[in-house]
Amino acid sequence: MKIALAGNPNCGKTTLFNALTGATAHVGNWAGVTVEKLEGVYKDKKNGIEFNIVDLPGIYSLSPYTPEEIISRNYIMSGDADIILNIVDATNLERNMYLTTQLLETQMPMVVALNMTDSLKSEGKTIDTDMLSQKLGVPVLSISALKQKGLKELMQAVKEQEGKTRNPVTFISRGILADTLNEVLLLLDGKKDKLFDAVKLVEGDKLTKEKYKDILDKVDAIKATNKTVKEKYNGDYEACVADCRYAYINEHLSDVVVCVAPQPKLSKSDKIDKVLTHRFWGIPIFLLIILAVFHITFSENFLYLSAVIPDGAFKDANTVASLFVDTEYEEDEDGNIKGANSIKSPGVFLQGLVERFADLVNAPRVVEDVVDDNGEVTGQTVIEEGGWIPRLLKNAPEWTRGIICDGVLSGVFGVISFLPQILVLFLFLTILEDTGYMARVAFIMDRAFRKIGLSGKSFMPLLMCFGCAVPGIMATRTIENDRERRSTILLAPFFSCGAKSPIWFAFAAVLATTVGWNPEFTVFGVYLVGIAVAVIAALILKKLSGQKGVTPFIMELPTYHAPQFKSVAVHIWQKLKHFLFRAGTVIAASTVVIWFLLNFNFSFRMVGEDQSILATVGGWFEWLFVPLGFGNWKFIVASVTGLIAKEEVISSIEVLAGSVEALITESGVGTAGIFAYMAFNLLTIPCMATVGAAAAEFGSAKKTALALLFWLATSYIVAMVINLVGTYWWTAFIFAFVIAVLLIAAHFLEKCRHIKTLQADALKEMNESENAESKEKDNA
Amino acid sequence: MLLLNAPVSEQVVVTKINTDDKTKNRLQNIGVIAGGKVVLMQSNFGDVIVKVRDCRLAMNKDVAMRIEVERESNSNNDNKGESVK
Repeated sequence: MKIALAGNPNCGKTTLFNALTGATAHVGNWAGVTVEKLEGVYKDKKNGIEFNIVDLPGIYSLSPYTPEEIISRNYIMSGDADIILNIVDATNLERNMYLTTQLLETQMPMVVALNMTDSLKSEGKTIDTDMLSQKLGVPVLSISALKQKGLKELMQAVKEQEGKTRNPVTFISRGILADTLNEVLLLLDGKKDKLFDAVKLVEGDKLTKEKYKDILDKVDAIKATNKTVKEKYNGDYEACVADCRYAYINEHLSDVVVCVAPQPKLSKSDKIDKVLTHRFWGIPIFLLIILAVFHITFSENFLYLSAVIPDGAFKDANTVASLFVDTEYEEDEDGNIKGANSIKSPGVFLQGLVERFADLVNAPRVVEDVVDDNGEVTGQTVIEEGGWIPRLLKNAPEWTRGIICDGVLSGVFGVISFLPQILVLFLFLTILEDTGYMARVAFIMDRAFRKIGLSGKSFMPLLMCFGCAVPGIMATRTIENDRERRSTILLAPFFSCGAKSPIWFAFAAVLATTVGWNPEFTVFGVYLVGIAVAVIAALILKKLSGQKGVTPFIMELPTYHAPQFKSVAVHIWQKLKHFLFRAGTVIAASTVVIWFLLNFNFSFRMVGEDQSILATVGGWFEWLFVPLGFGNWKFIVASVTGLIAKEEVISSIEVLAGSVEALITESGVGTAGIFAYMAFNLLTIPCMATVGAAAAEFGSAKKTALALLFWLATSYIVAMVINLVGTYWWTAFIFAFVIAVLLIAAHFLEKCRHIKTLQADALKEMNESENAESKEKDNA
Repeated sequence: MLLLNAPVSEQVVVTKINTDDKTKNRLQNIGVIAGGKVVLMQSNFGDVIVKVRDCRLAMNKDVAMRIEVERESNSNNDNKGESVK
């Protein structure tokens, strides 16, 4: 038997789905987390129950509004499922009943699960489930999906409905629509789901109208005879049907909620909102929170405690203690010590831990030949023992050691050592999402987003892109406006994803030692560059499209709740698993290929890297990247491998040069070039998986090709500007001039277009009036 | 009175929704209908948070300026408010 989970957005469908099937689908505290249908299996061996369960995107109504709502509606109406399990958020019963009354109009057997009854209790209210069940005519059960309470009973109730049929009922058949509905019903006699379709035809639903094209005239004729609707609702049947539904819910269904405690005027959520969505403080508070998250993740100087800890306090720390504190210091001529007085942030501490482990396993073994007086090699002395693997392989042939130690292990460890920081960063973002705060941020950012031709709706998808652009691009389905949706997809890669972050961490660590930049600010700076470029690109896209006006933004704000340990843990675990899986498969395999291409020439002989295949091919393209400041084939090759997966940029550098620091020293690329390189990798064509997701959403090869060109051009231009301005500061004036000219040109282009449309409108009007005149003459 | 000018934390009744059909449909589905009660919780330069039934909705100025409301006490004497109900 197949069960379809249907309900309002954010009512806990996916939580229930995960609880029933043991799946780990993404759960968040905002409306629209699930944008695709998910399938799983529920098994209860003791009672011999086995169900297929289908989780659907949340819907407010069966008259859909956004692409992901259409998925749900079509699935429910397809008849693929045997039973509907309608999940109802008990804390918001009236609004949820709006959908329930529509589901009851179908012929499908149905069970209602009242979710979140525990939070209802803490609000001082209860629901009379027996009364509700009687009124709706279907079983109603209280559950808590989160605490996994009442699930067995729920499945038992579902099982009892197996094979039963249900008479569809509607609650709008009594009022002013009674005659109209009955007449439309007669037209549909003998059809499947005729009550549902009849109601939808009265309502004027687009999808149903397409289904019954042939009888639309008759339906319209029937509707025209209803004078009451014409007078009261100005012929707006949609409003009339909605009104009838809500009127019924108000009168008959809302009294099942019983208040057992006095209700405060402002709930806890309202009080928190007064602060967090404040008209002035809202955005500064958000920026502070994000900065704090970055600080905890990346800072070498936790809470800036070095201001109170005396210099040199940790200079004699032992190996274990040095994981937590900075032991490096400088001593001047007078013996004054500077440094060694800061504590590492949790993210940096964890990263250090992984690096220690990597050293233990794969530290290179350094040996020196012992030469006797005649210049002949008599043996070797070991200078550094190295890690386990190099020691184990000390007698193996050179190429084996090369491929394992310099290829696979150094590439994979190069990426994995950044895993802790990625996880810490996402732990905090997940917590913020789970509390319900991020939905508020979408609201306070809407004003800013509108200025660049987007809306707050784009915020959640773009925020998800900080994790991974693939789900981020899929989440754009919640955006109603097509142009906004396409622009959001184009901007998605500019929001640095988890796989790209090792690039920033690695380069930031080098910049910290060479020019003394604070690593957390360098990384934050890269994220800001991405956001700034996204803003400018959005503005340009807005101008190019020539669209005026803003799209309406309506979004439900979920109730705040404390982060759920389980859902946060599951999310982080998923991230970890995904990352390790990629490190062990794609990345490990490509490091072997790169090591091979780096150590062999075209005639497959092992040669020095300067004559290798990679050096030759990469060398052909060096000139292209000279204006960008990194015209060195190793940088280029690393970037190209990033197309497979962005972690590869760092793993390739590890294979190509040994380490990021070594690469910078050997190539002589300056600070401006380094930053340009980071910007280039941030903005350029994303990994294959992302391109695939974008292509699927665009649904057209031409648009995808244009998107690829857009990403390539943006990254090239921005990296060039950064390099040139960074190297010769006065070039900033040239770029400012070019940008000003472009902006003025865009402005005039917009004006011209505006005048043209005005002219076209005027012409059309003139033609129409002429036609009307000539018709009048004909008639005469 | 437009929703964005409504008094904060006071229950008002929606009298008319002047948005395009698509937005109107969305508002209906989410619980904002003519004759329904809403409370303006917060107004940020025209972007608003309103409480409808038991849920909180955020909408931007563009939507908030197209929803007409009136004070509840007035609507009892006003025939227009009654007729929508």
